[in-house]
Amino acid sequence: MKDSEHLKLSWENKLRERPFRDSHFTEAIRSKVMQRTKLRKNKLRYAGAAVTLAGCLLAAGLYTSWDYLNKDSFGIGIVNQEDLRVRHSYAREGVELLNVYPDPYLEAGRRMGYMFSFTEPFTAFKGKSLAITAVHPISGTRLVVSPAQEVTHPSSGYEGLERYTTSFGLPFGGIWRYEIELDGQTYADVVLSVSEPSWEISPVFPYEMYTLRGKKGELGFIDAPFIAGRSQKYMWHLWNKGEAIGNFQVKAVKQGETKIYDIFTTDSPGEASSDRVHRIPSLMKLPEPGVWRLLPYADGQMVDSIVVEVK
Amino acid sequence: MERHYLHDLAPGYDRDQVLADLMTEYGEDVWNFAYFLTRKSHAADDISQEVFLVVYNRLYTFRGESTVKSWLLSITRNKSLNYLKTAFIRKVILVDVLTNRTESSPSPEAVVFDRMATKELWDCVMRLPLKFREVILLHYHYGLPNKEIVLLLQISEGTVKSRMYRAKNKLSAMLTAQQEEGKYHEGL
Repeated sequence: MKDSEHLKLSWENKLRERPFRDSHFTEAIRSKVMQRTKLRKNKLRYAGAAVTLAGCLLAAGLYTSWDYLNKDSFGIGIVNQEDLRVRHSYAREGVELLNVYPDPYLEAGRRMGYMFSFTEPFTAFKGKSLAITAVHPISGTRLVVSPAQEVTHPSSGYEGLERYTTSFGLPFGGIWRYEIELDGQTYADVVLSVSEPSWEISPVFPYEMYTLRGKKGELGFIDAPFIAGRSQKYMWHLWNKGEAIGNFQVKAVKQGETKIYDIFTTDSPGEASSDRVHRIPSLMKLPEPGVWRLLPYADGQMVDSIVVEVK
Repeated sequence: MERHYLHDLAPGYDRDQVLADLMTEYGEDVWNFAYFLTRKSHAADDISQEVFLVVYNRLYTFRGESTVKSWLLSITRNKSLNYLKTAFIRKVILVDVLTNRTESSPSPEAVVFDRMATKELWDCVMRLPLKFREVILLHYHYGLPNKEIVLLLQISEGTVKSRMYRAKNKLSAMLTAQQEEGKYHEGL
């Protein structure tokens, strides 16, 4: 009996190891998979091409007229062509330190994911605070998109920070430079082209007995007209599973401009409700008529944005 | 087990990079599982490709209801079982009816287990009935806890436990028999 019991023990441990010396998941299989993902993507791309082209022409029109519309740019001076060159990696003295992998459909006006891949070993980052600032060279806008956080552990499954993920939203599109700071010092930066999101007025949808304007199931406010210069109450609804929020802010950007207005802020955004929707009363006033994008931030994080018309 | 970074990505990340990572981390495990279930290397080649294509399409909808590993193995299992169903039908209907021939030759698609220390053990595992083979491998080779096996196989915890118990007994019996046979041959 002892012999076969010993046998039982060892097979349970032996089975943990793979039975093959080499992997049968070959480079050939791997590349076939990557090839086939491209094929699917291309089919979808052709369909989207027409839409994108129209969008590009509109964006190009807006972009060229921005400098004339935006008084701020006159104070900044000449922006270097080099500052506007899209660059996904950063090298210092010939050594590549950082690569960024943004969403291929990167656009402003909503929270988007970024993956930063750092090449230096973990010791270069451990215990230091890491922050990310987004800079819009043309307007000079500087936004702290990822507040300083202490680096305590490497990326899951890796030895260093090869998969540092973060997400945040930007208020408007264009060329943005992302500066990574370690302990307050600029460590590396990358430059990305962020698409301008749609300026179509956000639709209304019914909820309970109200009509909300925004994105159904995500966020909205009880619809009421916007009159330039006039304060009005708007009840925000956030579909965030009713989680508690410490700080709620609404900022706004006017179509064609890069100036960010603070519209509303509260540190006591009411009770989280039981039906997975957070209701936050607010008082908002927009200064000028035109098309505006409202940018709500919950605890410093942009969720999505709502486009409204101000009369 | 450490939480895979896929659980923490906000929507909109670069799928190509994540897919490449997943293939590096789990490609071998996926291929092996397809092979363990189908016992055919060509099937495993095809299935492992299909699995990662499905993963690519469903990447944005992964909500972390299971671990990344269980998720991948679950897709692999579904594809493998599908293959076995259609292969069986093809074999029974086409081969038997059209050629009137009994399936006698061993599968040419079997791959040799080339690690000497564990070869005999794995040969036994491959001879286990499918239901026993999969619980044994999911638990002892892939290290999935019972709760994850329950989700993956869509059966109750009680069924998992009883199947595991019977599978272990069967495997032990096979190994003992194999050992006896070995001793007998040595004795000759």
